[in-house]
Amino acid sequence: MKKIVIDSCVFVAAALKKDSQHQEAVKLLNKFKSENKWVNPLIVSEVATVLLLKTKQTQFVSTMLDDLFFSNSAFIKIEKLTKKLWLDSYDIFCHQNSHKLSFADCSLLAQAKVDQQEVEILTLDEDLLKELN
Amino acid sequence: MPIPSKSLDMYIQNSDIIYTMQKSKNSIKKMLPVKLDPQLYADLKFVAVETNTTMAAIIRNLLKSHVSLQASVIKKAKNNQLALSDYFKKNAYSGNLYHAQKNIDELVYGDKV
Repeated sequence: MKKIVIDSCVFVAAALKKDSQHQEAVKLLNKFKSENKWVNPLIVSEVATVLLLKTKQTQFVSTMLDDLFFSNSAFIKIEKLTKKLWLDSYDIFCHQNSHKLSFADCSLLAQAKVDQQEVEILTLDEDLLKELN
Repeated sequence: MPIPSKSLDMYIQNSDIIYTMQKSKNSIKKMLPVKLDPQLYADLKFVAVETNTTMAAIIRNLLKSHVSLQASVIKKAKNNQLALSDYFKKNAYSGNLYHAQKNIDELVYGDKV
């Protein structure tokens, strides 16, 4: 089964109806209904911070984070950033040509590369998409 | 305080059913259908004797709530996987947004990376 790694911008856009990319994010997630979905702690950190900054609704944000990442029946699995993943992320970050990728973006690329199985990164970030292509 | 092994033997001899881990073709002994670590087996047998119940009943009772909880969690997770986009359709925040024009990089790192 294909492994899906999801960027923070997809979660943020899908979680906010008034986000300009909301429909696009929901449609993107709809394409991959049955695949295992993964993130890493850096992405969870970005999602939590940005949702709180954009809504100022602690209750909404905590419920959404619980449903997505932290409850026993959470939709998404959080992959531990192992030493290898940290070093791979660092390597990608240091050797990027575009100078447009955050360390969290690089961690997604490293996460996608570390597995032998087929991995797809879901993102709405054009710079990250260019890097993937 | 441990029970003297003599009285345990007496109990076992007087029991209708004796569970054992030893395989014996011509024995009337009933096998416990779970392979257990010898120490766990001894403890289980001890508890069964002390609480006047069967080893199978102890295992059944302990498993029941644990397996039922685990099954419900797995089922819920499987259903959830099928409906992540539906979850967002139902639960997305519809109020006005702060920093609506700013993207993630600008909010988290102060500028577009």
